[in-house]
Amino acid sequence: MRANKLVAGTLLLAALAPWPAQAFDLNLDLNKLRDVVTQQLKPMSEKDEIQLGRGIAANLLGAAPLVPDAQLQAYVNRLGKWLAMHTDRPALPWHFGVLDTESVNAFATPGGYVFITRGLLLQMRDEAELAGVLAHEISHVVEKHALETMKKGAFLEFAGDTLSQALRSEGSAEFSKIVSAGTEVFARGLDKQDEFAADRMGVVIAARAGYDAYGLPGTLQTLAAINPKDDAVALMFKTHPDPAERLELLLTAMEGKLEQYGDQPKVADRFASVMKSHMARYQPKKK
Amino acid sequence: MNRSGINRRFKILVATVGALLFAVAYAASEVGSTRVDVNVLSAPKTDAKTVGQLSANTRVDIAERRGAWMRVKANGTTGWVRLHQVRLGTGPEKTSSQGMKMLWTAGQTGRSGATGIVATTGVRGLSAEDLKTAQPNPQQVQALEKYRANDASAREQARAAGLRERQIALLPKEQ
Ligand SMILES: [Zn+2]
Repeated sequence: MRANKLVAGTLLLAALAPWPAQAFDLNLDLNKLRDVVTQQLKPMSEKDEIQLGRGIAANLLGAAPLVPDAQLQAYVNRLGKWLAMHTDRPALPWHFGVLDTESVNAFATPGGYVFITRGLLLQMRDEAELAGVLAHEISHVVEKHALETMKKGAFLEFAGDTLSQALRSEGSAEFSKIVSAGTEVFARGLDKQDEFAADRMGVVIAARAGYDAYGLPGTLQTLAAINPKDDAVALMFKTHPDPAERLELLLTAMEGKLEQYGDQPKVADRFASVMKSHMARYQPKKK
Repeated sequence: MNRSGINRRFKILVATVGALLFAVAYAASEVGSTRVDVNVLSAPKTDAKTVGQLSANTRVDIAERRGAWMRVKANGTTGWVRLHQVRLGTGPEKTSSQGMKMLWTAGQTGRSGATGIVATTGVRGLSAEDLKTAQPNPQQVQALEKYRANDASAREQARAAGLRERQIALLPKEQ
C-alpha cells in the first residue's frame, strides 16, 4: 500500500519533471522530493548493501569487541551459516560474532553481519535457543529490515547517487557519515512489526535447519522475566517490543503450523560442553 | 563378552548416569510462577484432559520443556502448561530477583538458574550512547573474517548433532 503511494508519487513527479519547480506555487523542493522518492524505490545493489553492512559491523565492533575465544566464534559461525543456508539469501557473505559485553542483545547489519552478545548467550539453555535467536537476526537481513529503516530515515539526507558513490569509497568522510547514520538505527531500534515478522520467520528457519522450533520462544520467556530497569537489558528493551508480548504473538502464530517441529533436537549436551569450555577459558576484561 | 564390549557398556552406563545427573540438576534449577489461572493438562496438547488447576501467582517447579509446553509440578499436581502461562523466577512480573544472573558458571555443566551468581560488575556494557559514538575497529573486522564458516563445515556440525533438514513454509505475514 505504501509502495503504491510511492509509485503514484513518482509518476506524479515524473509528469511534473519537465517543468521547473518555480513554475508552481507549491512551497516544495520538487527535485529533493524526487530524489527521496527515487531512492526509496530503487533497491540498493547487493554490493552496496554489503559495503554498508561491513562498515556498520566495524562500528559495532568498535563499541564492543569480539569475545577472544576462537573455538566459540567458529562454533557460532558454523551454526549461523547452517541456518542461513535455509533462507532465500544463502550466498550472502554471512559473518557471525559473539560480542564481549554483559549486555543482553543481538544485532544484524545489512549484508549478513550478525552479532549476539555474550550476555545473551549466557542466558540460553541449549543450541536450539541460540539457533532461534540467530535465525531471528538472519531474518532481519533476509528481509532487509534495517536497510529499509535506514532508507526511510537516516539516509534521507543523502541523495541516492551520493549514497552509492560514498559506499564505494571506504574511508572517505562521506562513507563514515553514512555508516554512522546507519549505526544509529541500532540505538533506536527497528519497527515493532519488523521484530514480530523476524520472530515468525526465525522459528521457521530454525525448524528447517532441524532444530526444535521452540528455541526462540524459550529465550523470549527468559527475557520476559528480567527486570527492564536492569542496565544489562536497557538497550534491548528500549529497541524491542516487550518479550512477553512477542512470546504470546509468536506462540499463537506457531499454533497448528509448527507444533510438529517441537520435538526436533534441542542439542543441549553439545551446547553445555561448548559453554563449559568457554567459561573455563574466559578471562573477563574490565572496562 | 570381550573387553571392548564391556568397555562400550561401561561407556553407555557412564553416559546414562551423566545424562541423568545433568537432567536432575537442570530440572531442579528452574522455577516459575503462573501468570494467570491455568488448567494443568495430562499431556502436551490442547485437547488433553485437565488434571488440575492452578490459580495465578502459584509457584511451580519446571520439570521439562517440550515445544510450546512445560511440565510443571505444584501443590501436588504434575502436568503440562503452555510456555506463556508461566513467568520464570519467583518474583512478580519483570522483577527477576537480584537483577541479571549469569546462568552458565565456570566449572559447572548447567545453567545455575535460581541460584546463579549475579553478573560481575565492571564488565563493559553496550549502551545506545556507545553505538552513537562508535568508531570503526578494522582489526576486529579482520578477526571476524577469520572465523567465517563454509557450507561444508556448517553441514558437518549439523550432521554431528543429528539435525535433519525440513521443507517448511513461512508463516503468514499477518495474523
Ligand atoms: Zn530483532
